[in-house]
Amino acid sequence: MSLQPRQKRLMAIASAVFVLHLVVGATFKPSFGLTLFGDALPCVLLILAILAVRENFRIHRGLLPLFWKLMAAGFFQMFLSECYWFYYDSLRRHSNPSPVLGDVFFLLAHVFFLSAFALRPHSASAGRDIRLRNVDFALLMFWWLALYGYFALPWQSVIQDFSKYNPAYYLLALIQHLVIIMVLAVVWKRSSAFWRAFYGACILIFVLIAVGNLLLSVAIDKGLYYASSFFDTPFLLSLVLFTIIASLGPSLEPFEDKTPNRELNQSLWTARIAMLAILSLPIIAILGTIEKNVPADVARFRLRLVFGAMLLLSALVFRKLTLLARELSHLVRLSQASLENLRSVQAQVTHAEKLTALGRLAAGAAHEISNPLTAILGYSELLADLPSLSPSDRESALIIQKQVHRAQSAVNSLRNTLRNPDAPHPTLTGKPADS
Amino acid sequence: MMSNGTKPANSAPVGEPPAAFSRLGLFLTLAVAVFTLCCAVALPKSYSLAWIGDTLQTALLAAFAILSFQNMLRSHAHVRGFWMMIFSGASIWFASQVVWSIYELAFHMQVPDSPLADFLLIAKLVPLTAAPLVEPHKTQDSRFRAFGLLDLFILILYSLYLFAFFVYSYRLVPGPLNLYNSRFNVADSVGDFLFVFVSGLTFFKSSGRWRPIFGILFLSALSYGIASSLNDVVIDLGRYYTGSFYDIPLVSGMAGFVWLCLSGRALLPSGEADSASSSTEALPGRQLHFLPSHLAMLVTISTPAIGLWLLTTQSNADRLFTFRLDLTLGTIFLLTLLLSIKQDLLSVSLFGSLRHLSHTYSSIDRFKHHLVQSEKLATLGELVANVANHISDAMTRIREQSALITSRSPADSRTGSLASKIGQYAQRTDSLAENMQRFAQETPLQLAPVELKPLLETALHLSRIGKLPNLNFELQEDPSCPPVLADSSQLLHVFLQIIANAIDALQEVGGGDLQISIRPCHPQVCVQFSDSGPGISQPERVFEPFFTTKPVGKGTGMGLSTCYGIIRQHSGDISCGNRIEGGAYFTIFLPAAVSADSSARESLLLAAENAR
Repeated sequence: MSLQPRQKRLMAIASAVFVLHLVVGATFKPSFGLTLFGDALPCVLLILAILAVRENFRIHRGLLPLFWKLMAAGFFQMFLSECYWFYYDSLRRHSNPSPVLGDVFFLLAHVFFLSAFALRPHSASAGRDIRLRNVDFALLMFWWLALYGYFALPWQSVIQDFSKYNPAYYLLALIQHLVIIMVLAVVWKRSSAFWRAFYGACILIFVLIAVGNLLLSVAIDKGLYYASSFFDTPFLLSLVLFTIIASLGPSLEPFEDKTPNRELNQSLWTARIAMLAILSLPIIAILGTIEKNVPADVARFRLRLVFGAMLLLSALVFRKLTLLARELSHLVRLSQASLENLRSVQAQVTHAEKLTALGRLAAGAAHEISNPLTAILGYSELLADLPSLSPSDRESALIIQKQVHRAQSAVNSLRNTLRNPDAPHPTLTGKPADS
Repeated sequence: MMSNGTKPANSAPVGEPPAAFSRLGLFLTLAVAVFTLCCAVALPKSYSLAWIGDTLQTALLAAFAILSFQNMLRSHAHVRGFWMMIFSGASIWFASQVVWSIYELAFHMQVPDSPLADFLLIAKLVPLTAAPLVEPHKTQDSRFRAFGLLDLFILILYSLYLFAFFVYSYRLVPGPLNLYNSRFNVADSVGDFLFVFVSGLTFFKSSGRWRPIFGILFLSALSYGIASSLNDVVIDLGRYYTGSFYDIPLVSGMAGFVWLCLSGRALLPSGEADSASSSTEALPGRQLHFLPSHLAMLVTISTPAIGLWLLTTQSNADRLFTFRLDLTLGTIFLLTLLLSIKQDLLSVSLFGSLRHLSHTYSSIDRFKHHLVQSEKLATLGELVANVANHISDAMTRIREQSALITSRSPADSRTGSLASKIGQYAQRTDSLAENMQRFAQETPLQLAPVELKPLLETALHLSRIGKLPNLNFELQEDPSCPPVLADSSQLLHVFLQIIANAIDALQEVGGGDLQISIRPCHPQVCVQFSDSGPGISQPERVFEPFFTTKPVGKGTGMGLSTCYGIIRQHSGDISCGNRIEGGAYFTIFLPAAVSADSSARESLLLAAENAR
């Protein structure tokens, strides 16, 4: 695998930035300058990662372009999240900003990563039902946002309570990371060779991100965190690793699945999971109405959120059902046409089979006929050789011989045709009585 | 006054009554309306008038329920769904009528206010409205029918939800039931309106033999709707009593439903054929974009919107609010569940179709190139006929000449004997050529008693099995075996095919034996071919079209399926399997000619006629 000079440069810069982070983290005490630096670092690394991914957009193999675009979109969401922190921490010098926007971008980034891996870019046969999957993707994304809105958001937008917001948010993020790692483990198991190494590295990256996030939550809880501390290290390291992996993108090649039918089952299950996700929302809301120690405002906010989310999600389901129905009726029409086609082919083949049988019979019959013909010829020769034969009888014998020859040549031409169907048919045209 | 409006309207659309049943229904409807009118005119408000009115109404509804139940039992598929809906509506209506009559006649009082009685009053409209949405007049793919039923369930669920949300919930408000009662009346009117609207829409969109049925349904619905809204007003004015003028539209409506069942009953016996013939607009794709599907989606989307509205308009968390909230959440869950099921069904059948389609495509591909080869054989039939013609013509000439010579020479001379031998051989050749020609032409099944042994000998001879190395064959016949009723040339084709298959199988293993036995198997004759070849890998699939074990380009896989077709045409049976001692067997059963009495023979001939 050969690396482009531009990709080498990106990798070098990323590694340098990471080393810089280690050095600065070890030498400086917390200060405003350090915060500025610490908030800028992930932004820089994310830009490098996006640039590295961008190089892969040009690859046109299977679902790879879509895969890399989804990855880039994910990193862009992360970038937005980091920019948000940078803006509040550093430029506005806001001591206690609302984390909502940054957190939402961070969660959304992972939705994009998840959908990228769920595409299974290693398979050449994947993605035949991409249109339906778009809807499933949107369904799952909105559902996930609704969960965030249900469990975490009220503790920011309705009542300011960080002690309730933080665990909820970090729990959601942890679940998300675990799901991504699980999906990666599945594709890792199903892939081979270079793809396996690629997915393995991705697992490592997401384990790093998950561990970093967990550390972060504990550190924030205990008040130990400050920007550019070593709590940032796992996250930054994962970004560097990803830049390196993205640079290897051009060597990835999708290969044929051994079991293409699994593909269909997979998208069936994706759709089922999406529907289960939707069904979970009213259940969560019903359980929520039973819960007693929730402030009334929070409960009302949650209900409103569930109703709003259900409105949106049912509209998406509507879209999907319409797509499905249209696809199905199209297919039914197509399969009716092809069935008719098959029937006509079947009829033609039956006819051809009859002809083959006829050929076989004709060959037998030709053989059968040539025996008595030979006998007739022999007797007529004997007859012609008789010295006592009258001239008129001799003439009759000659006519008989001539007719036998004629019949034999007809039989022979039939046999030749049967032996070699490619040869042009002998011309047996004209009225038989002519000769 | 209303009677003048309803009666002529009732008789208007009867353009083509399917049978005497339908005329009976019309007569009944008119008679009931006139009878009620007479009673209302002749009798003052009294217990006996109420008795007459209630009995009449109860009897009509009982007839309605019983007749629709019978129709339900006699119909099939989605027509049965239609009658099932009608029947459930009828039985609910009957139940509420019985409750009403018992209170009025036995206890001399109005029905006490209870949620159940109210619910019964309005619930009958739900299945009755749903019935035309089943679309019994359309034939469609069973899959799409399942989607239609799901949509219908969603709509029914939704209407119940709306009733509970907007009407029933007011019972929870403490205090008098005024608000509830007015809401109930509104809901009742909306239900009536929907019923009339849906049945009218179906009537105007329908065509063919179901149109009169929907017409009757529409008129009955209209009549009932008028009665219901009229009664609401008159009861409020205190002028209503059972048996009054105001009952005329109601009773006409009830009689109209009985008429509907009678007309529907007349349609039933030919229902199958009718639905098959009127399936001109059975395009499944269009079907899904029709009303119920979109309506079901809209109502599902509307439930969270109602929830949002509830949250914004009501702020105090009282009993009403809690009830409505839980109701809405539960309904959202149920509706979404139904939609999920529908989506899953759609996806599964989508992928099923995809798989089926790709299978069909590969089948087509596989056999297309055979056709290219066999096109070369297409003129073979012509060629064989031509050759046979030439030969038989030559033989005629030879026979003429040999006859000439024989006639000119003395009886026992050498010339004469030679010439007569020539004539005999020419005769034989001629009959062979004739056989060949007959095979070349496609002739319809010509059933005649056929001796199997000579036919099998011919087949063995033609297949030239005796000339092939390492192949032995044996032909056994039970002497008591009767001839079979068959078309000899078609049967020869079958025997040739099976023998050719056996030869192929035997040659594969370098030689072996083929045993053919003929034995009686009353009232059939059984022919068994058993070989010592390698056996058949999938005996259950051998007779499927296109199934072949031979390499591509060798066999088309049509031979044995053609045999199967021929044997089935003869009302016989063909089966195959593997012998325990190795090798394959084919068993053919054919009807024996002697045992076939005239009627069996006739039916066989008829079957052959149909098969053509």
